[in-house]
Amino acid sequence: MMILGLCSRILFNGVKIFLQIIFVIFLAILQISLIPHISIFGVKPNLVLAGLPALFYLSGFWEILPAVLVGGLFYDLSDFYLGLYSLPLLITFLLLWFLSRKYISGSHFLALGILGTIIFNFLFLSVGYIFGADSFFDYFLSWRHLIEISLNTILAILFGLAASFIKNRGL
Amino acid sequence: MKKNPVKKTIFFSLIIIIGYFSFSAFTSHSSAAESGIMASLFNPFREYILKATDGIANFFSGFFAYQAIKDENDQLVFQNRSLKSLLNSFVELKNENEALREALKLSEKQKLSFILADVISRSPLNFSQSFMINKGSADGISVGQAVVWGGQVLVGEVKDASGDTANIRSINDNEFRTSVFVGEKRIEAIFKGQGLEQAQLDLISVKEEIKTGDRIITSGLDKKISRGFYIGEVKDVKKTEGKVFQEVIVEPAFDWSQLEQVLIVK
Repeated sequence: MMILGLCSRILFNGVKIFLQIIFVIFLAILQISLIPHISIFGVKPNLVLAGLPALFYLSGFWEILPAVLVGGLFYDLSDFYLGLYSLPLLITFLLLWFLSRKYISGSHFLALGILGTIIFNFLFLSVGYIFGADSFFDYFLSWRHLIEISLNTILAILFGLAASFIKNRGL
Repeated sequence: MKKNPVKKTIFFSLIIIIGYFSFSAFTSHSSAAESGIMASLFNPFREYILKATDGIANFFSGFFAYQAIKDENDQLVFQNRSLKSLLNSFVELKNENEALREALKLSEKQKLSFILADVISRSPLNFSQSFMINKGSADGISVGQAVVWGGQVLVGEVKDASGDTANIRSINDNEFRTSVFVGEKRIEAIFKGQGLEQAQLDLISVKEEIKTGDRIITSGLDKKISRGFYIGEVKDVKKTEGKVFQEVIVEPAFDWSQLEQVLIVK
């Protein structure tokens, strides 16, 4: 009986992680296909980054780790270097996890959206800057970056509201 | 949860693996990036994802750009009729040009060879305006080569190259710079990509006369990109009192994010 319970628990967690990965892949595909057509002032929101806090709220850091890596890998496939996106994304959620344990409530999507975007963009652009790109300040200190932060935060809140609904309904 | 050693081991192993690939790719002389192992492993996925997402993108673009496409079509029909009428005079000019070349015994224009490549992915976020192609150093591609399309229109330059893939920096990218000639007077300037902002021309004195619609071609003076590639035309000119240089906004000939194939100049 105990083994059966354990198996069903493992199966349930596996299905949950699988669904999270599918959700992130869906967001990544939308990011590449749909988002370029609905960018605001040329600024594209980061759907994967905005969607992950909702999963973070529903499942916690350890369970969304595969989804973070798959989301990052999808972005990596569109660039030259493997790890260029997935590593900053992983570190971003590691930092958000640390912050959420002490300073931020898991359901505070406003803070998660703003901090997530700033941390991810800072890490990504820093890596580029270290390796010779001189355009770090061009984007990070521009008004377009503020637009991206706002868009990501709004989306993070929307995804978060959906996650709250799912959690409250016990789905 | 906090003290689970298995989870911690998995987590730190993942960080080490990703860190290794990142580091090896960035240092670019080590195995992962140069050997092309990663490229051969991931290129089929890249191509598949791009094809799939392009299909979805085309579907959405129909909704979002219906009016723009209609306007553009009207404009193109008009331009096509005008160009047809101009074609005859161009044929005359071509013949005249050939005759003059013969007469003056001008050396033949530098012959260029090209490598055709397919675009297999594009940068998805705001940071860079770059894309990847399915040809790399094994095909003779090296860093700094010019990338063109549609009758020698400059699209970008090779930023990185591995065995089977190369990363192309488009002319809109923040890091892109090249020397150019502007207009019929061939005024020298520096073309600068501005990322999400519109590309600009730099180092043009306010005393120079630049007009909207002036054509911009590469000058080759930077010894990076050969002379004569078309970039686009002047979209707007702003002269501010007290400033030494004028601000010139450029309309590039191509939208790099729509390209599916490119030619790399060897």
